[in-house]
Amino acid sequence: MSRSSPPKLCLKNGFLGIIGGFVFLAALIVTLGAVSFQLSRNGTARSEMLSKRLLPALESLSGLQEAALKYNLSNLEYVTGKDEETQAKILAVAAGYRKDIDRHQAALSKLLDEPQARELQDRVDGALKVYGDSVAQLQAYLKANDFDNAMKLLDGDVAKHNAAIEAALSAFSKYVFELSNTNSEATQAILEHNLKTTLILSAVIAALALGSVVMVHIVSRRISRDMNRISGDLTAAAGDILSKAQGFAETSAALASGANQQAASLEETSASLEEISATTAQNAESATQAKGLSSDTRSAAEAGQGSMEELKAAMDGIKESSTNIAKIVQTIDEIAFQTNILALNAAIEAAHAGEAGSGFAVVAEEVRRLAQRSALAAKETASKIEESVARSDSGVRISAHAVDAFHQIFDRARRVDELVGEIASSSKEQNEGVGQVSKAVSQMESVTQANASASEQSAHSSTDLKQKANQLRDSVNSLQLLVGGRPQSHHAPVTAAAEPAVEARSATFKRPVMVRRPLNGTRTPMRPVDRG
Amino acid sequence: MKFTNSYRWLASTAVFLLAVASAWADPALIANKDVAAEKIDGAGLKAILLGKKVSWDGAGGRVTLAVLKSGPVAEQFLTASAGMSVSAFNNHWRRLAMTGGGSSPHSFESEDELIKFVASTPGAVGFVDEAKVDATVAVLKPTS
Repeated sequence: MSRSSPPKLCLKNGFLGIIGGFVFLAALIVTLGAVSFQLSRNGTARSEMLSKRLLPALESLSGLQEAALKYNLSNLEYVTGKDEETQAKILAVAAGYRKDIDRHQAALSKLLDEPQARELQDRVDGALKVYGDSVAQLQAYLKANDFDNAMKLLDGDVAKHNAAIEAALSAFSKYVFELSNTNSEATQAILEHNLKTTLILSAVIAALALGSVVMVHIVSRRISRDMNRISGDLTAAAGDILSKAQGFAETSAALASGANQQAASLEETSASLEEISATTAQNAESATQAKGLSSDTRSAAEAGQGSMEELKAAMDGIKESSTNIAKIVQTIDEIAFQTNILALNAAIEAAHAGEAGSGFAVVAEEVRRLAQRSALAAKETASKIEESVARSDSGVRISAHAVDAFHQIFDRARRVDELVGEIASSSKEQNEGVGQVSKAVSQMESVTQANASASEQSAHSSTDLKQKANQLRDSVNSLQLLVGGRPQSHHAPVTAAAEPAVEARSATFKRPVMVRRPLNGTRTPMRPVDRG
Repeated sequence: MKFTNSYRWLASTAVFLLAVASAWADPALIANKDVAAEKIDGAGLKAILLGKKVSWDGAGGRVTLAVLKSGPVAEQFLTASAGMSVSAFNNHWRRLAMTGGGSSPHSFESEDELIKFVASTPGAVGFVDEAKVDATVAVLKPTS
């Protein structure tokens, strides 16, 4: 980037000078307008006086003269009216003209308020009155058929008074015409003065405007020259920015790509950790269950040990009972023996009794047979009880062994319970540790994804920067065209060189989504999922 | 009573006859005696009345016309002789006089003044009720 020397022309001062010049011109134009307005107002006042007062006054005066003339003519026509009807008509016409005269006089009174005009109008009024009196006298003579006096009056006073009216009207007319002429000359003088002043001021303004245009042209040429130089520097700067923006874009693309790969790896690690966490949790659960089972086993062993103690006591009771039963059998055997003796004695005694004792002899036989069977049964029972006692002894011994064995089982079960408890505790701690690790990895993943997003935004920003650099270069070209220079085209627009990198980076923006591995251990190959 | 009725009848008849006589009173054309010998016909009289004839044919000189301003005699005479009413006659003379066409007639309110004027004015001519005519003036009879 070439460093430009500071411009010699200060734009602000230049534009301030131009604005000042135009303000001065505007002030001059306003002054011209004000002067013209003032002069025009004077001229307008004069013109208004002419158009609104004097011209209508002249018109009314003309109407007044005409009405006076016709009034006089009507009066003369009345003199020679051929019959009464015609005379009456003529009188009516004359009265109409008289009213016209009054109307014009009233209009003139409103239009002209100068003392001289008032005096002249009064003179006309006076002449009209005198004339009216004469005419009234004439009409009286005519009605009386006094034609001689009527003729005298007609030739005398009536004619004289009519002449007085005409003279008064002429004087009045002359005055109004003079007034109009004076006013017209004054108006013309004002207009000429206005024209002269306007021309002089316009010439001054035109000269100043021409000078301003020349000044503006000079200033604009200087501004163009300086702007051209500045735009050259700007073009160089824009090119520099553009090349740096390209490098920035490529770096951002690479950064975004790396961040995305890192995010993918972290996502995979996170998935594996989540699987380990699940397995550990399952182990912890199994250990907990095993601990429960071993506790149950321990409880069962304790219960078995108690039962075995009770079994041993029961076996001792059985042995003692068997011994007591052997004693009872022995007693039964002795009773059977004695009974047999007694039966034998009874048979002897029955035999002694002869016939009378035959029945008793049968009973004695039966008793002896029963005694024998009891003795036999007692013997069998004794042997079995002995066997039972022997077996009870054996059972007592075995139960003693079993009690010992249960003691050992109980000890082992307690030990196993303790060990399983330790395992479960360890698994829980392990599960918590794995969970913390998984959480940390998730945080890392989010941070990495945020980094990737930031890289993406950075890549976009670099693209925008490149576009802005292109726009800047275009603006500089426009500026050069504006100031009349040639656009500097030695910095080619960045399209082909930078776009592939941007496209490659854009492709990496569509980051593959890692599909979580199922828990059965088979890994599904990673495949990109189109997010768009 | 009969006598009274007869007077009333006579009086009424006399009033009626007087009224008729006055209504039908013939105006007479009179003139100064110096023009008594003038002969005049209807057209001449009309020309005199309208101001077209201003001098007598004979030695009478200038004609001076005297008229009554109004009244049945004037109305009757002017209608018969000039063919116009008193008003039309006045207007005729007004136009004539005020345009310089002639001297206007002398007007009189009463017949006596008129007779007196005619008698004392040479060449004068006028008209009055025939009954008023006296010897100071001559009566002209226009020939038809």
